[in-house]
Amino acid sequence: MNDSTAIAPMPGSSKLAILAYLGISALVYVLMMVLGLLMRMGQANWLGLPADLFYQIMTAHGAGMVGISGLAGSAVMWYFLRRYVDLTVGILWANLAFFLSGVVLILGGIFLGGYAGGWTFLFPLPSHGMGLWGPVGAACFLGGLLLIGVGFLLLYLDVARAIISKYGSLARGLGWPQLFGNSDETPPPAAVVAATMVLLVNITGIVAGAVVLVLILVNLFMPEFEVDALLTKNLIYFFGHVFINATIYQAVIAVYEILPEYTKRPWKVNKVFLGAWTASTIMVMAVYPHHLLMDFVMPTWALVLGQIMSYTGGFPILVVTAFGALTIVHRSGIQWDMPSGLLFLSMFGWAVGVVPAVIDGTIAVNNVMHNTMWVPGHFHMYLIVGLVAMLFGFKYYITGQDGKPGMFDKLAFWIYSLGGVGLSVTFLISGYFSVPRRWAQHMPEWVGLSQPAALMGAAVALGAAIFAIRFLTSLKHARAV
Amino acid sequence: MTLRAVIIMALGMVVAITATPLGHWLESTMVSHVLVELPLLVVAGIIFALPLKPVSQPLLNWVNRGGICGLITASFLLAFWMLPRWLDTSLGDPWVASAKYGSMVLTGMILALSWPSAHVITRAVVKIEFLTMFFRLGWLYLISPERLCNNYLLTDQIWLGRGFLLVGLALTITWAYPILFGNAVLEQQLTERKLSID
Amino acid sequence: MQYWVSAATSFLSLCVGVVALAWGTDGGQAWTAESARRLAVLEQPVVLPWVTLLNQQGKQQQLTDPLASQSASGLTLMEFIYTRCPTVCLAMGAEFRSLQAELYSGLPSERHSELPSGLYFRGGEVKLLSVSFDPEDSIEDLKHYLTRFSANPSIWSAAKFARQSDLEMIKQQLGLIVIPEPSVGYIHNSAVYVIYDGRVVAILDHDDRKGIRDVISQYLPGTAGSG
Repeated sequence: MNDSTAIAPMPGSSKLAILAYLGISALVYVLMMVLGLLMRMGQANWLGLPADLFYQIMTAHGAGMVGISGLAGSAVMWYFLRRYVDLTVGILWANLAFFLSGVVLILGGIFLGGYAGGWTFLFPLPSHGMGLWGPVGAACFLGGLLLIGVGFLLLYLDVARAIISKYGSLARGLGWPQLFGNSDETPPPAAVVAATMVLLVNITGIVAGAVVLVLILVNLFMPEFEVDALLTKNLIYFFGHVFINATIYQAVIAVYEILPEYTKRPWKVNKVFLGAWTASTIMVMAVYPHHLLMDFVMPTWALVLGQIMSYTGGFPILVVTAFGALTIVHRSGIQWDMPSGLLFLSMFGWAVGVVPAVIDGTIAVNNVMHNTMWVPGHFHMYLIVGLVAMLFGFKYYITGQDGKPGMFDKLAFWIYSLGGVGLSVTFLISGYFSVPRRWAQHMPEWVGLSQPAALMGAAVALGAAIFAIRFLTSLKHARAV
Repeated sequence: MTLRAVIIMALGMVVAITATPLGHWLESTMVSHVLVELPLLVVAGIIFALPLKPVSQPLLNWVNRGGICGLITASFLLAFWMLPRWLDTSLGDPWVASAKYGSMVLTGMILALSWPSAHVITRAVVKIEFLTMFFRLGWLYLISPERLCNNYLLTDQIWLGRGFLLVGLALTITWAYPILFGNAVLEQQLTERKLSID
Repeated sequence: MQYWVSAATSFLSLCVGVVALAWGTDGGQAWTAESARRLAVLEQPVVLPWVTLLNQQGKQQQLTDPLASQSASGLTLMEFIYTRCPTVCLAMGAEFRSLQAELYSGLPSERHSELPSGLYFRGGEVKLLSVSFDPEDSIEDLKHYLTRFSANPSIWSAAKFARQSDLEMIKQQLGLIVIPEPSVGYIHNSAVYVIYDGRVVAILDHDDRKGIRDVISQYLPGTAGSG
């Protein structure tokens, strides 16, 4: 709202599409949380979960959470970006169609084809099902990812087209003339800057993903083409890390747009803000080697880069956003309701969630911590209390549920946020005590940690379920703009 | 240079490739076969299609709206001749060789008749898929443990793999630079001004 | 209306394209010319023409009858070589030597049952033949070649084409491709050709021992050893 451009009302179809994105994501989040809960209950010995099913569920949980976060994040971006540039509704629908077809293939590959090699499909796992899955199951999973990638590619190309035709180029979308030159033109609004960064990193990531996915598919059916395991791992983590990172950089647009509405203060796009987003564009693409710190065959410079980028990469946007949010809220007399509360909670989850990642990004620590529950502790904090809180804040906002929150909403807020923090902390404590990640069966001495984790996981799922129901039952009040 | 002269030159090029030792020479290494001969034939096809455009436009509006049908057809034609089996067979079998020459010229013509009507998103998708394919093929050719074509040496294949990667990189830079650092708004204004002067 | 016609033509071209690629790869089975010719031979064995060879003793023999004593029910495993070959033919020769040991252990027939499983005793039924495609190879060269790999003359013979035009015909019929390469001499698509009853019934990788055993069991069932 800090731009002089008149706000174009969303035509009916685009409103429906955005609500479809958000409704589907609300349901899938709850479903995927239930899958997470099942895994934790299995580890807590409260549920007899066969190991093969555990790994199928783990694969579905990972792929599902990453995919749906991408979908929900892109809906937030699209919704606000449309206030400034002319986006194509048909493409928005096409992405959803590709996404849903991909989901069908992925679920088929996992639960019918038996694929359980994790969402990161590390080579040569897809071709080594050891009798649990064959090439067809793995191919369905990989093909599903490919379809989802095509959909997102369409969406980001449309965003790129819209930004370029209004601002001239992507560098201008990032505000480079204002950042590096002495241009006294008004810089693009925060939503445009963020969307430009996201489309740049995500298109690059999707291209890398599309190359490596096809190569692994070729290998499935023609095993004589042996791809280099280290190169594929680099490309997979480049693509995967960029994609999951970009979800929060899309969702954060909600903070830039909604908090100014609440506080009646504009979100300032200054050189520091522009510099932070430009720096992060590079850093988000350069940080992925911190997933490979234990691969001793990696060149040292890449690992050092991974550590430096882990220390610095997450911060620029986080700092300008959290600081900007604090200054905009400070003494503004902001009304605390569900949207503003959840958005503010997300700032906390994001900031706190980054800390364990920075610790794990230290090579010496990583060597003993990376394959423990410490890392899931980081990303569960970052995603549950950060990203998903942000998204549900937006869902409350778009369905017009601002103003004084009801008792259920308040209850759900506290159940969800305390459960989310608690679940992440149990992960982190488990990691501290070297409990390995990705183990279906836990040793007796770890069960004491898995049981409270299962309880916390149940709380998160319950809170999210209430959020989802409140969203779905309020759809008729959805905002037109 | 007139259109007629350009077409005659393109025709000369096609004849030189298909009916003189030049073609044989280009086909003597895999890199020049795939990255020089085939693209030259496609370029010739693009030139041949230039005078056809106004004539065929009414029909194209029906069967090739947005260039989608044509771009799909062209992609499959290119994909078919990227199969090592048919590239290899074309070297020993004159019928297959003629089919290959014809397909490449046809691909160029179809591309020329489809690209101008293609939506900007369609073009972007085609470009990205195209350069992604170069990276995929380059990688595949570099890791292939055995010869994919009986008529070429393993080292030929590795050079072609490197060539694919280089072309992919060059295309990425060529296509990405203007959208990253250009100024589409300014260009649009210049075009409009030019049109108004005209 | 225009929109729907174009949608239909696009869908049609997509279908035709998929069908063309499926046809062009035999349903995804043959992506290279090499795999295509192997597949074709399995489906339709190639009848070998009447071609005269000169063997290592300088005697004439037919391509289909390497040791002149072959019974009609025997198999011949043939490969194309050139004796100067410093690379793949060495591996092929070593492979044939090991195959020879497996085929003909020298045990009398009443002791076949003592052979470890997986070993064949088929020296009488399976012959090995190395055919040179290099016009510069002499009878002497062939003899040396066999000596180098300790060939047992009752099983393994070497030969060259009596007429150069026969070589060209065989190349054409079998899809044998030989390209000159400055540093080693020639590069060729090396393979083992299984000949049964005057026809090539299978083309296999020279080191595909399991495939070779399977073909032998398929055409010569019974007797000692199984796969």
